Amino acid sequence: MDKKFPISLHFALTLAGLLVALYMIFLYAPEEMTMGEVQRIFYVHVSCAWPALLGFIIIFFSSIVYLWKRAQFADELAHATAEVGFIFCTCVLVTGPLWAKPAWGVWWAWDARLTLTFLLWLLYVAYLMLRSYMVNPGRAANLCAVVGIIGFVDVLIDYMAIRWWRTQHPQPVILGGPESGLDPRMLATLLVTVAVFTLLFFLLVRMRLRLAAMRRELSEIRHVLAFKMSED
Amino acid sequence: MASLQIIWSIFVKDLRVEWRNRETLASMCVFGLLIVFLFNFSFETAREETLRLLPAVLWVAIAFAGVLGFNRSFASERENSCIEGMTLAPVDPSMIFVGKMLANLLFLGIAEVVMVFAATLWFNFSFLPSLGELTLIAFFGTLGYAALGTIFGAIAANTRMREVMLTILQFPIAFWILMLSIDATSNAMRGDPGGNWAGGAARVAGISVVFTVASFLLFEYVLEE
Amino acid sequence: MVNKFLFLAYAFVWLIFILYAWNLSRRQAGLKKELDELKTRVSDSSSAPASRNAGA
Repeated sequence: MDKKFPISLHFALTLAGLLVALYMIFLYAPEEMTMGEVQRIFYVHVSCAWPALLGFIIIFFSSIVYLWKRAQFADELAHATAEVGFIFCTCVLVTGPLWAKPAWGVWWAWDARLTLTFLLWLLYVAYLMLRSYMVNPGRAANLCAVVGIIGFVDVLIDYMAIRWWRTQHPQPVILGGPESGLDPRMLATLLVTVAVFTLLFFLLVRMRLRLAAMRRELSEIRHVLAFKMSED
Repeated sequence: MASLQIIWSIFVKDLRVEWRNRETLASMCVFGLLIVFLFNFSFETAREETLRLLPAVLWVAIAFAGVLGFNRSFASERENSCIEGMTLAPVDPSMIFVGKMLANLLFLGIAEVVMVFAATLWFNFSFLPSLGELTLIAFFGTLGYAALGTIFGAIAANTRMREVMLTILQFPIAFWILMLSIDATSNAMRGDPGGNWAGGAARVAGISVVFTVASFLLFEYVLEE
Repeated sequence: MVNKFLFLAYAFVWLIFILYAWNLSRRQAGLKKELDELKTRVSDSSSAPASRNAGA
């Protein structure tokens, strides 16, 4: 992929995209009637939510591939995606309350999206903590893959359970409403921002993967060095 | 069948180890009782509030007592290098999982009985009218919870901050087992006004079975080198 | 004047991505330094005329 779509090009495209998105968010999209300016947070809030979810989907499939084929790249991909996905997830959880408070008067509501995002965030934290607290790093890949799989099963269950729970305990729709009846300019802005943030997501994952590749090269060289030392 | 024998021997081994000093069981029961006691003491137990609080109180107590038990279950394995023994033994790791899970299930079950008994006395509430339904819900809820606790206990045993690691893995993932169990228990305790007790129990059972099967299938990867 | 919450939200998002990108480049620089060091050590030991025969 590096040859067909070099990182530098990816980076340039992302930067350009971000500028376009910023323009559209602040200068193109109309101001919302009831909430005013604060509503513009919505674009970045939703745009971070989708990569956060995508991240865990990638972790799930990478984990399966790792346990099945023992491909080290799959493990590296899972780890990289976990770091980047965690960042996006944190953004959703921070922008959410910052939007909710001025718009609806409450910092938080256990609506479907925020609940799912919070649980997803906890799963990311658990995955990353497991990676850093391993006593024997050689076994990290196996254990993290197991957690990645069970975690994703949990995400699916979360999604279904939250939907069912909301039918039992209905809540006023907060933070979910705007999709219905969006002004076409708002919709266009939203789509562009989502696309740009997805591009940003993959850019960061690629950058993080480079790190993993270097680390792998490092351990290979250490092996070679140790071998040569033992020869002398 | 050889598999059943393995399961049985692991199960009996855990029981035997526990029987020697009964530490794990004792701490689980005491901890659970403490939580039930604290809630009982701080809220007035007028009937309607009792019904609202009690399911949540009980399942929270079960959740925390459970994590306590799962931690100790693998702590002793690690201290005596039993994990290496289990890894090297030429047996199907999934059978080890079932044996340990059943032991965890039993201990947590005993702690639950103790907590329910205390709740009956302190909250002045009789569980007898819906005992069958409640037992079913409690069984499936505890089953899924214990399955997750067993595999996460094994995973956390490989880390530096074991108790924290187990807890942080357990709670986000077991969250809906607990939530749906609370909901179904609450429904059953009220005498099932909506007539949909069976649906609630089925939901708990469904989720628990999914997690138990997933844990069963993935356990071999946790033990392998 | 720009709404306080709007500003905070965007400031946070920008900040966290910039910080992460900076963190990544720092880690990369550290790894690269170590990698270069080891590479020179490997090439040094290759060029050194030390005895190489696996002796009997």
